[in-house]
Amino acid sequence: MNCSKIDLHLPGYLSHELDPATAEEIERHISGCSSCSAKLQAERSLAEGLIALGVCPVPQETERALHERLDGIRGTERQGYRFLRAWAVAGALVAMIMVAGLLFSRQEPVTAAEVLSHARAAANRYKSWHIVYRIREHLRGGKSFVNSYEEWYRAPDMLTDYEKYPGQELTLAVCGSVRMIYDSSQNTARLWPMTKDEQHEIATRKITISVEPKVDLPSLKNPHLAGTIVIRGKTCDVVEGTYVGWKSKMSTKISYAVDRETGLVMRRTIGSGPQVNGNMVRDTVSWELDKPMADSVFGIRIPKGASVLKGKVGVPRSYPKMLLPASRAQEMLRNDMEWILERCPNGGIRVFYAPAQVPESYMFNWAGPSSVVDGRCTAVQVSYIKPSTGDTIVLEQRLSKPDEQGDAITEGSFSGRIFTGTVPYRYAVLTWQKDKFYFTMTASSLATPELIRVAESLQLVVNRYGGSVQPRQTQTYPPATESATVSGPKPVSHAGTLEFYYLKDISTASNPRGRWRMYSYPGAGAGYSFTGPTGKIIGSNAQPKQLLDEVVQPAKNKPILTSRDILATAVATATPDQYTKGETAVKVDVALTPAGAKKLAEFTRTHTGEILAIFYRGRLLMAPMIKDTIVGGKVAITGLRDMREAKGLVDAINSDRTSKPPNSGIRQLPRSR
Amino acid sequence: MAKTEGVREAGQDLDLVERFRQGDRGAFDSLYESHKDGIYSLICRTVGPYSADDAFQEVFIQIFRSARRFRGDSSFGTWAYRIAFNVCRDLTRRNKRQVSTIDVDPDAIAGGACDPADQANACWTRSELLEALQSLTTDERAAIELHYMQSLSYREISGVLLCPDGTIKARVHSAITKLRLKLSHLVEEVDER
Repeated sequence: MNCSKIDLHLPGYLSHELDPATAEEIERHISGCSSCSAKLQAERSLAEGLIALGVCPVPQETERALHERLDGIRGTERQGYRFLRAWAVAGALVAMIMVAGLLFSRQEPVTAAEVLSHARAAANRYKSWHIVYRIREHLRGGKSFVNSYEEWYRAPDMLTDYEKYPGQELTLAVCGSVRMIYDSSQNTARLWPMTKDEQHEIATRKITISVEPKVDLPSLKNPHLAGTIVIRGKTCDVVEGTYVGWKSKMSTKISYAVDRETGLVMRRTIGSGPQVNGNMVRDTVSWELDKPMADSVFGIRIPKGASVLKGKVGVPRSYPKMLLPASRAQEMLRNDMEWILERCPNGGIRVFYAPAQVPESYMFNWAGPSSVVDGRCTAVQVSYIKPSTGDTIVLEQRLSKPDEQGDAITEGSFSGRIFTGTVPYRYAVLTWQKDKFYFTMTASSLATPELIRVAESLQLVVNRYGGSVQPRQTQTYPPATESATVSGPKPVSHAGTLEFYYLKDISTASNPRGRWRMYSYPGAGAGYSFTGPTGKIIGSNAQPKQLLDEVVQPAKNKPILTSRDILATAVATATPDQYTKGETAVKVDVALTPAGAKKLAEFTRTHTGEILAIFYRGRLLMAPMIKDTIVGGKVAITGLRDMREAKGLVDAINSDRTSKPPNSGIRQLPRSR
Repeated sequence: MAKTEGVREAGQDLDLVERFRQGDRGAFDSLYESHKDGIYSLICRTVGPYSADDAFQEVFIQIFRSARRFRGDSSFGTWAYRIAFNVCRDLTRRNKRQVSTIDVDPDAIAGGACDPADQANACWTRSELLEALQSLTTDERAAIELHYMQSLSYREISGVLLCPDGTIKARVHSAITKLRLKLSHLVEEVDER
């Protein structure tokens, strides 16, 4: 028996569950193997530690609650027999009451169904959608089961993302933060689970997505129309019903005021009851969702009993949503923030702020963790939606370095990608950084002045709590005072060495026959690595000549665009990276000539999903995948090492307006005759 | 010794189930008393203390409702633990959409026993051990809980988790390896001293 087998048997050996022969063999091995002997010691110590944890005693309150429920069940069972005997009598009585009701009632019969159908139609009109993800999860053991998750969108643009970009990698907030590829032709998607538990447990997942109109009314039992009410000048139908807890089976009376015009819930009132949505509810709670928010702040408050693990706060499973007067909310938030900062010097965000002046027509939509990595919440998000247009404001607070293995969150998550796509939304990201706390605001499809007002109010809130908004110090070259067409410093000798190539031999989803695979290195200007069919590896920065010869093959692959197609109006910009401290993102914006713009548009239209490579002086700067047709003739070039290199490129382009066709490093290579 | 007690308890449980079938209310209370802590502990460590209360009630209501149909193919304890584990797994899946974490309040799930750090050989504290346990999968946590804290044999655990003995053995081994890794830096620190 070798050491690895011994390792497998150690728990059984310690619990005396092995047959005598195996146990003896292990003893013999251990006596001669110091490594296994040490392992046995460690394992014994660990086992003793685990045994010492013992069992958890049942809390008295839980026992009392259980006994009450059991007594209730026993009582019902006893009553059941009596009920059976009295069934005939009771049935007759009920029938009599019904007949009497029909004869004597002058009121309309229950019309809750009509209200719901009306609300559903209104919601449909207002692009309110309910997306159901039915996820079949195949476990490693061969079993499978189906889970359903729901998302509710009022913004129709999010749906167009699904329909317009089949095969595109999308990051969605489903079950925390997950990455998925959605295939619209099959209506299925592949999903990568992010938590360790899931990685161990689940082999594959298939998602089926169905989209249907949705009204924000939960499945109420016995819904009935309780009357009408006017809220903020809007006539609302009040629908009353009973909500039955999933686990506790306790029923709670809930009423919803549904706006007749929009189908949106204007007010929700929860009757007294022991449990609603996992939260204990002792008293009647009511809030109006469309209340003016000028003097209010939404906050998520973590009870002070939340657990602390190694400086990180545990995440409660459900969050109470509160609409509070600003003064009370701010006090609460300050207390919580201090409490968290005191205990979590390295981060662990569980409190977020909302701007004090969110426009009142924006409705609070959702709040909760937007990302979970390895079971730890790494981002908390709250969103507001303007129902009539679908405009969205998303506030997100997160860790800049949430977790060592948290590669999911470093990718940008919600900072505008899903919301923007290629749609020319105006959006802004405001970043607040204090220690490792992160605060971003993303807004889409908003009128700019309104957005600025919201951003300013957010900044005020942040300042109030001692944070400092770090303005993004953008450095521009040539400076704004100079004319963009004025030449920069002395032109470099290799003026205009920018060339755009189609990498036709790179394997992508759209071009699976490509022989080379491409990987990008993280960091500005870090370059790419190319792996060939025979396992050959070429680094774009280390072996630029080999890359050109073997991968690009300019001899038979002419550039799509050259410096001739670029206008001499290039501008370099250096902006502090919004997610990494200290790093600077450098880019050069170039504009194409009309002919160049047309060529690029035509090329990108026919090569979606493939790779376009931009070379500068024979070095590969960037190789993006073409996601859509690029119209407008504007290209942002990244992949530059620093501002100095960017300035060199700008000078080269801007000084080349009247120069001869470029003499680039690429052109020094032999060309086809 | 432990086995003999287990057999005796299994026999007693069968007797109690039979009495419960015949309408003896006290029999169910006896069954509850003998299994409540073990089941609560399994639930608490598998789904976390915040969800444990609800799940615990659900488990015993299910047991109450279906105990009359208990056929005695396995011991009553194994059957009850299986119900508990199924409820936990169900709950974990349902909760995934909200937050796929288990909140750990060390005080709530530590049990009433002494701190392992008090023992001569332990190089970690109770809370460190509990935190390390959170890095395990639901199945692994359940296997560790049943094997170590509740002293169930591989065979009994396989009856609860409905897996072959070998799978349980591998699961325990994998869990122990993970725990060792998680706690290894603490061991090294002590060694360096």
